Amino acid sequence: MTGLFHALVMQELMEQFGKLPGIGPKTAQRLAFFVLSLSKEEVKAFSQALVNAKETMTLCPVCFSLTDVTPCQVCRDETRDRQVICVVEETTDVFSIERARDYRGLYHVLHGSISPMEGRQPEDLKIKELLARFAGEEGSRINEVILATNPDVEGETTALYLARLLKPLGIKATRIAHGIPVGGNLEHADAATLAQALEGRRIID
Amino acid sequence: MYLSTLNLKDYRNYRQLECEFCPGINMITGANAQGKTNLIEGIYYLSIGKAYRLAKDEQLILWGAKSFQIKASAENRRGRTNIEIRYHQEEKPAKMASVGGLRLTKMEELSGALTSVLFSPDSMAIIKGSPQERRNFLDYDISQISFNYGRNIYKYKRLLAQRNALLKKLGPLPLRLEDKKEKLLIWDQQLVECGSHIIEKRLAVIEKLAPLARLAQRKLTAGKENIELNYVLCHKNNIDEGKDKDIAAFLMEAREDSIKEDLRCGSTQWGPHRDDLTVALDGVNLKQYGSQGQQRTGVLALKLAELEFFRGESGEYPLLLLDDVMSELDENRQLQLLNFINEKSIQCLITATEARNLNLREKRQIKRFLVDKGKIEEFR
Repeated sequence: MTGLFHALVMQELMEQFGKLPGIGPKTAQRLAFFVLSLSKEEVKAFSQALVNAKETMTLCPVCFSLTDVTPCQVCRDETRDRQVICVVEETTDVFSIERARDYRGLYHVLHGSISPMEGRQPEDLKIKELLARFAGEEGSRINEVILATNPDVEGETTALYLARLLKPLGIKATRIAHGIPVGGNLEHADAATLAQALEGRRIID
Repeated sequence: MYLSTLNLKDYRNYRQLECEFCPGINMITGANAQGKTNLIEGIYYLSIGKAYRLAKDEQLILWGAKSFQIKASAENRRGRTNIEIRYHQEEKPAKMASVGGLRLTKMEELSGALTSVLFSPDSMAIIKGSPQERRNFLDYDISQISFNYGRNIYKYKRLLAQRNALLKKLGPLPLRLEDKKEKLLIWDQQLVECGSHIIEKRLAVIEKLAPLARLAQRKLTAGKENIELNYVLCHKNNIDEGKDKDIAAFLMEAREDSIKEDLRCGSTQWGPHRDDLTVALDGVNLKQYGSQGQQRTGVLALKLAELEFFRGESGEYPLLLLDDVMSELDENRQLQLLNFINEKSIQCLITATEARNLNLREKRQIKRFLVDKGKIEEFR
């Protein structure tokens, strides 16, 4: 096959972009050429931002969310409710819940869900670290763990697994509800969500 | 229910196809390899949300194109519904479907938008083929009437794949059996729950399908042969043993019994993905002992039972797709099938290599089409 090949430096750049999630070879090529259209200062700022982020961000030693300060903003905030821990799969989930501004408790980030297909066992997640948080004086104040893993097969399994671990410890485990989006219209809800919302219906007093 | 219009774009060998069908009989003729079966496959896609010949979606795209589209209008008692499926190999999500203008978030929600029964030479596999063929036969039917069933099948497959991955990993590890079991438990509980929903639904459907098939078979053989359908749990020989038991308890027991074997071969040896359906004539298994002719009649009886089953579930007959089967049936069975379609006013799409004279007793609306190299034309 004959054809025009990219210069080696461009190939390397495209390879790097191709590593990003959701970026295929065509988008990688577009991005690589876009970088060339930027000024040298802009490119420097861009690459510096990448390095800075990587060098600054670490895992919070308490909740294991990604943070630039240790402990993280939530864990160091004295006004937060220290009786509740919300367990999520990723740091991005923490941001989603924080956006709701309604939750004032603490977090714990598992860094994934149980998925043998992808080689992730319970011991590969921050579960030991979660259990360690119940020890000591600080830990004895915790009385509820909210399981906010994703509502897919792996997330449900992780929630079930955690609930089983927490039960003998006498800690209340709750699972977030699934259902119709607020402000949404019933007619736009998909059948699976509707079925689940109907299943989880409650009495209005 | 009937299909009034069909639109295919870049699907298999069709670049662009527009077609209007009549509510009666639609005869589609053409030489071999012109696209008759592709047309039928495209229509059945709308019923089950995928291609029935186990083709992958990207294989359905016309050579050189990047996406395909299937659009159709279905008419039922309540009016007309537009159904659309689009697949684009470079977009995410690649597959999109809408019914009545509303976009679906899950393919399973297609369930019931266009119900159809497919009868093709491949249908013989329901009797002659592997248990997989018979499970597909059940699953394709049930997912057309129950959205939840489709969801459960999807979930079950995922759970099963996860459990099997764990089995493969645990198998060679030097752990005590009890510890391995403990690690599997979290998957097993869910697998049992989801699996028992699937089996219960299959049993309920067979209970309805069995008398309908029996009636059809007696009609086809002038009362001489009795057909029986039985669901066979892979773990026990007969469901009767488990009849009074709840299915979940039964599966839990099966899990217990085969855990060593599961670990040894790294796959799950029990559950609805291993079950079978037996078709018997007066107590004799049709797969092993039936003659060619008996097997053909048996499949025909099953197909007629499916038609009645859908009517019982939705109040309307589904659309019947007959792909190149007329040549498989002798004159007598052909006549019986056509009379049945006629009496019940079922919409029917028939493909054949040559136009044939349908000896219908009563007159019904007939439309004739000719397929030639991916183009379709109506002719009189």
